[in-house]
Amino acid sequence: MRNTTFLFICFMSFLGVFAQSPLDKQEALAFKQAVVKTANTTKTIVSDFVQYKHLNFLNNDIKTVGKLAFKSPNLIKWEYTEPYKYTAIFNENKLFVNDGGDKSNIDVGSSKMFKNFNNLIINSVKGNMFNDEEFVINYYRVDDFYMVRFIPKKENMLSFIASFELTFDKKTADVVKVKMIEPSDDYTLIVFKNKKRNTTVLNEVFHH
Amino acid sequence: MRYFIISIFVFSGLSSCALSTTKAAVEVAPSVAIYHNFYFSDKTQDYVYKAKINAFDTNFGGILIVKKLGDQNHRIVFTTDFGNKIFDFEIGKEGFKTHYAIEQLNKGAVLKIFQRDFETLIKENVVPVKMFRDKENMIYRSILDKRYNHYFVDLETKELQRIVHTTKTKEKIVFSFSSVKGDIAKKIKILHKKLPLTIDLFYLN
Repeated sequence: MRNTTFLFICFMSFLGVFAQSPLDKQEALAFKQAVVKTANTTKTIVSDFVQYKHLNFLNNDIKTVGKLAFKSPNLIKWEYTEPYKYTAIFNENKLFVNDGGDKSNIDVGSSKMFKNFNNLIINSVKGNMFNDEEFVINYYRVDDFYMVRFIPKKENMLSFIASFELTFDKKTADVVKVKMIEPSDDYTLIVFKNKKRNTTVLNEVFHH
Repeated sequence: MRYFIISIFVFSGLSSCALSTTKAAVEVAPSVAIYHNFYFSDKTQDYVYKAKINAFDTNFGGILIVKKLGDQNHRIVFTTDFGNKIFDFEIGKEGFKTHYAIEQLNKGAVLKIFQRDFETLIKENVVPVKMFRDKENMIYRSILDKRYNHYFVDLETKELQRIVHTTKTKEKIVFSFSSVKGDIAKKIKILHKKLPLTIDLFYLN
């Protein structure tokens, strides 16, 4: 029985490897252009999301649910609604937080790390993270999706992120999943649902 | 007059030495060899708490995860609400191990505060060196790292209400447990009396 299980796992791993195939240069370039075009024409995004925090030693991933709103060029709001209420609004150089009624704001203008983090969030939501100076970038086809793996080049980022994996809808070149993998192999996975581009999003949405 | 002044000095000296934690209690003969704190003792349970921290007048939130991995082994991880890891500690037979901590926290004095807080929080088998009793609680005093932990256990419900961490003369940290369901404290407050640091935990599962 144990041998059968072992063979089954090997077989599934084998399938897993082949379900993910690298794009050739031309495919990758065409895809990248499509994503950049979509990102450049994105004025607003609204979406539901489910976030899974995976820690290897836990029985279950920690699931949080919420809504995202983005307005070009740099207004972004993450609103967690379940199992608790928490809102973070990035507005230029400020981060406004409402943690279940406790409000605070942080001036992140002086923090280079936070600026980078904010840019990463915005770019990953839009899908446009194709910065060759910052990342080693590899393109894959996974079933009906494209997956792009971004491996940071800089040591300071590598100390907390081993790689980002962005999964795109093949047809719309739209990000459907963002996975941030830590050096320990623990990860955070954000799955977008009901994502809508370029609907009207009022500035009031980003008021604290 | 001289007698009066000496009396004041003696009295103030005595009162500063007396630990307020057990002031209203009377010492009783030890009746148990070990007191069990069950709040983080179930290996099958993922203990996941929403955390709100106020440190030096700054508020920040996140998620605190505690997992018992072995008989004397706990993993304690704190992440932001976005999932970024802030720290990842392990407390086991070999002591306190930092798997990861962001640069700003990865300093000896800061880690020592976390170590003391979490060792107290997860310690399951407590050996009382003295026992006290007040109107509502049985109080078990144990030794941790040259200091004392006082476990206040409600006489009626047998629930652990709080742990008061002290030196010989002063209260340093108070851990309060409330909304207890089974062996899970759904609300926990960690209040530092000598540091502007308060941690509120709300059970999520």
